[in-house]
Parts: sequence; C-alpha cells; structure tokens
Amino acid sequence: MTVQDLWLLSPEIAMTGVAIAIVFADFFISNKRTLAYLAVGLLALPLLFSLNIWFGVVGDTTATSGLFGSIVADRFALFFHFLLLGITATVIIGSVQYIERLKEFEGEFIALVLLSVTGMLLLVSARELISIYVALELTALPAAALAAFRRDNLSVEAGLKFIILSAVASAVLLYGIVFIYGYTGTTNLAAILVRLNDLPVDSSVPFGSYGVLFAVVMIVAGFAFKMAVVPWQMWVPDVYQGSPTPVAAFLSTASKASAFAVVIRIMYTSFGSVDLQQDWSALFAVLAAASMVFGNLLALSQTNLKRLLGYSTIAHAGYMLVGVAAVAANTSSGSAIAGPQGTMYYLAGYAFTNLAVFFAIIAISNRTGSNEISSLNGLGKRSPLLGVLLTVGVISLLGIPPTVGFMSKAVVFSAAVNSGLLWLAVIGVVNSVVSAFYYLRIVRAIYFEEPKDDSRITADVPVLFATSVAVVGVALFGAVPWLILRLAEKSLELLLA
Amino acid sequence: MNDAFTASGIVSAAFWLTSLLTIAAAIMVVTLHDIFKAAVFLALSFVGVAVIFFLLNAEFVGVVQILVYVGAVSILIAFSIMMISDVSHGSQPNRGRYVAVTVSALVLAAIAVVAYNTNWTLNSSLEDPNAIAGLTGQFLEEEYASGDGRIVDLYAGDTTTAPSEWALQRAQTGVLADSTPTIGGLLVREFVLPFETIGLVIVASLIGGLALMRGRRNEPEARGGG
Repeated sequence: MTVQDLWLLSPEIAMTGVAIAIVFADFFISNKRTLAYLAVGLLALPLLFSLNIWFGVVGDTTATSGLFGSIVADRFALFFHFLLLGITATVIIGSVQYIERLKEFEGEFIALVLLSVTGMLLLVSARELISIYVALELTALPAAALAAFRRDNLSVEAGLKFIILSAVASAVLLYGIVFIYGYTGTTNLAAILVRLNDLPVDSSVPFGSYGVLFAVVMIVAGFAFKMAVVPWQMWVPDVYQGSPTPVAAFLSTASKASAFAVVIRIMYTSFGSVDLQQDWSALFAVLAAASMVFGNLLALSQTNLKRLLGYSTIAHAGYMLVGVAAVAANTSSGSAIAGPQGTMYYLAGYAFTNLAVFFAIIAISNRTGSNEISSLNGLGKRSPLLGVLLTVGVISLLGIPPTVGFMSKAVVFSAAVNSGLLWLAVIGVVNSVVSAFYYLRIVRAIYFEEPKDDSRITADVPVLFATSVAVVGVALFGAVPWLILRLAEKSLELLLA
Repeated sequence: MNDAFTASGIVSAAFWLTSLLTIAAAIMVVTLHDIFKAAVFLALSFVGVAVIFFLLNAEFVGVVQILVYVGAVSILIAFSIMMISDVSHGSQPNRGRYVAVTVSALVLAAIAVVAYNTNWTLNSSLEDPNAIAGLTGQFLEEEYASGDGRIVDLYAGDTTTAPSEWALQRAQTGVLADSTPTIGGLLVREFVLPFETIGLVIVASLIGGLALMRGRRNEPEARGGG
C-alpha cells in the first residue's frame, strides 16, 4: 500500500472516521441537535478529499487506480461521491427531529447512516468483484438495522425482510461472481474484459458462452435487489412503509444511486465490448419495461403514502434502467454516452425529488400522525408552504415540465429512441401517463379535499430546510439540466474510453 | 491397471462419498421438524464441505471451514435453540414448500445445464501466464514454466532471491500444494481492501445490534411519521 493508494481511498477513510467520531461525540454532546449538525459539518471532510482527487491538488493526478487495481477514484466514482454526500447531508438534517425523539442511541442512528454511506462510497469506487461484494454488505447491514430502528411490529418486519432478502440477493450475486471467476480466472473488472476477448466465443449463445450468460444474469439479479427493480422488488413497499421515514428516504435515493453506479461500471468495464453491450442491453430493456409496468400498476390502488412511494420508486428504477439499456454501442445518432449520462442525471434529479416528497411527508405526519393520503386533505389551507413544496415534488415525480423529473425522463427516453429502443420509450411514456392517476390523487387531496381538522401545520425548521433545499434542486436542475449533464459527461469519459 | 487403486481413484471415490453424505445431510436440515436435530445435520454437512475442500488441496479453507462453521456457527445455533422453548414441536410446516422445491429444482437444472455446456478453459490450454496465475489463484510477479506447460509461482513475491525449495517442488508437481502462504499473501496484498472492509461490517453489525437491543423504556411514540 502506497501513499497514493491512501489518497485514492481518502474519502472512504475520512467517512469511516466521521462515523466513529460521531459514536464518541455522542458521549459528550447532550444536545442531539448539535450532534446531528456536527455530523453534517464533518461530511465536509470526505467531500474535500473527493474534491481534491477531482481537481488533483494533492497526490498523483494521473493514476486513478490503486490497491492492486481493486479501487479506482475516477470521475465516475467521484460524481457519485458528491451525490451520495449531498443526499446524506440532506437526510441527516431532515432527521433531526426524529433523532431527538429517539431519546437514546441518537449517535448510533447517525453512525449507522454514515457507515452505510461508507459502504456506498466504496461500492462506487471498487473495481474488483470481491471488494464490490464486501462493500455491498457494508451498505446493507446498517440499512437493515436502520429499517428496524423504530422497533414496532411494522418496523421489525421491515428490518427482517430487508436483511433476509438482501442475504438471498447477495447469494445470487456471489453465484454470478463465482461463475465469472471460474470462467475468466480473475475478479478484476478490467482484467475480465481482457480475458473475455481472449477466450473462444460461441456466437450462437448470448454473451458468447453459457457460463458468462448465467454469470451476468445472476450479477444483475443480485444488484436488482438494491436497485429495486423486477424481479427483486417485493421488499420495497413493505420496507418503506415499516421503516422510519428518513430511512426510507435514504434507501430510496442513496442506496439506489450506488447500485446503479456499480451496475453501470461493471457492465461497461467488464462486458463493454460491442457484442456484449448489445446482449445486456436487451436484458436491461426487459427489466426496465417490467419494472415500469409493475410499479405503476400496483401504485394505482395504494392509499398509504409510503407504500405508494415504494411502488413509485420501482417504476422510477424502471425509467432509470431505460438509460442503462440505451447502450453506447447501439447509439446511432447524438452522443454515444447519452444513455448512462441520462441515468446519472435521472439518479441525481430523482434524489432531489424523492427527498423533497419524503421530507414534506415527514413534516406533515409529525403533526397529523398518519401516512394515509387522506391525511393530506386540505393541506393547501393548513400549511400553504408545505402544500406547495409537496406539490412541486409530486409533479416532478410525475414528470411535468419544468421540473427535473420531466427533463430526466426526456433525456433517457430520447437516448432510448436514438439507440433503437423505440418500443421501450413508448412503454415509458405510456407509464408516465398512467402514473398521473395516482400522483394527481395526492395533489387533489392537498388542494381540493376538505380537511377534517383545519388547525395549522407548522413544520420544524430543519425538516423544512431539508425539504426546501431539495425543492430548489428540483427546480434548478430542471431549469438548467446541463449543470448535471455536463458533470455526468465528464465523469463518463474515463469510463467509456 | 485398476483405477480404483490409484491415488486419483481413491480421491474421486472419497469425493463422491462425501458429496452424497453432504447432500443427504443438507436435505435432512430442510426437512426435519425438530430444529435441534436439523442443527446437528447442518454441522455434518459443514464437515462434508470441509472434506471436499481438503480433497481439492485447499487445506487452509478446509480448516477454516471446520473452525468457523462446525466449531463456532453450529455451536451458536445450538445455544440459540436452547434459549428458545418448545424445541420438540419444531417449526411449522412450510406452506410454500412445493413452490420452494420447484424453484430449487429449476435453479439446480439451470446451473447443471450451464456448467455442462460451458467451455471451461483448462489451465493447460492457456498461453497467457497471467491468466494461468489468475486461475491458480497466484497473482505474484514472477512465473516459471514447469516442464509440462503448467506455470507455477516460484518467487512468492520476492524477486530478488532465487526460487525457494518448496516453490521448485511445486513447479515440478504442478499442483497447488501449499495454498496457505498464497492466501496469506493475497489477504494483505491484492485483497487488503475487502479484508479491511469486513472489519467495518463487523463494527456496523455491533452498533446496529446494540441499538436494536436497547431497553424498552423511553420509546419515541410509534406514530406513522417516523
């Protein structure tokens, strides 16, 4: 291990340090609000280290790969570092009230969030399958504890479902890794590509060999759990409904973003040759269509807001997969990297949108004590500000211009059309229309239903702040999409080279 | 010459016997209603897996399998069962078992078809020394070709001195004779990142476990809004 390796790992090391520091600071700081703000402040450390690698201030700027090739701090990884750190800061600020109400183990709650994020930072930087697997476990284990944190029946059920299904998904993923290792003799993503080019190809089988076909299917199925797409979507509504709402917000944004990042990296690094890209493009196209249809159809009949958002997140994962399916090799017009670029933009936009919706719901349910859609009745009168914030979030989920939700759908669908997946884009547009039925039900409840109790709802300052930041993001990145699109383009140059 | 009397004949006979025993024990684990008996059969199937590791010349993994799984995990399961009353009644029959059997059979069939139809590259058919080093689990810098085309690491990472005695021996036999030093080297070199990350996973599980076991007092109201 050299000093350069330490520089490349510095964001992850700093994040670990912050998590441990919060556990200790919990002993000395009795005001837990201060503790939460301290954690947010300390997030500046991993952020500074990531910025340092991006701009190459200290350390060797040419070598991005270290630790015998098991880690790579390229711009693709750093893009997701920035996104994940932003989500974490917002989630912790928005959870301040929840943390205060815990009365004990507040530091542990924050530390578990931070440890899970450490795993995600590693996950997006790892370029070796065993490191990826271990990092995935590090993201999942604290998340399961967080899902069960409230410890009532629903919450414990959420935690148990999460940990058992995540273990099964890990086993499936490991099976894929074992087949890849057995076939190519290496777990390093870049070396897998080299070996696959050397080995004989049977052109009658997708991926050139049954072993690779099976391995890719298993690896994608394993990550499908974290991405919350079909066939591993059944945990999502139960876990979102049962877990504390800040945890659901965290899972639906950070966890999803890191899983998409690692899938894009594995696919373009190890299976990046032109023939293979066409093979897995078909696989992702099918998964995308299934997720969109499944998520939207089941969301239609939901009355619980968190369950509804659970199904909606499955549908959105489907839209994001459209971008993954629009591979560079098939793109005939426009930018070759439009597909993955669109997915990255979608992930960032969805993070802002979903955080806005979840935190608005936290602010409301803190007062009403309910997560039913009917609890939003007359919100426009009871709290005009929260009503507007939640409405902006919901119309961004639905995809109405000028929000980021509309722009990101436009980018991924046009990428799909340019890469010959017109049918998938059509399914996506039809699904967006279907989703209007349930999203607009929320808006109707806010403005057109009469409240049972018309006392005013006043939100706590931190959660209102978190919601407002997210809504500003929704508006800003919807109006000026190239801010993120340029960043994503820069990040993908190295990966696709 | 009768194959059964040669060394490889004995090894393959031992392999089939152990495999049958392991699979039989594993089936008992999932079908028995008494979970204590199931736990004992689980330990037996762990031993079977360890024997298979030994037969594959992976003696270190075999020893770890016995130490960790048979020694620690099985005992832990046994203790957990002792804490729970009503052991003899066992678990409820699983209503989804026919679905489970069908799914398992389909997965098994898929794996069998794939494993049979895949053209697994043999070490001897490879020309790239790095690929062979990968397949034999040896990523060290210097390789040396033995007479029969197999390539085995000789220098154990130290390129300044001559090949060691055991390395030369390995080159002549062409067998991964001594995997323990290789595994030790890999754990602190190529795979140091996952190795250290596991430490963090353990920290996370400790913190999570403590937080979930906290006392029942001072609960925040279990209201809808988390």
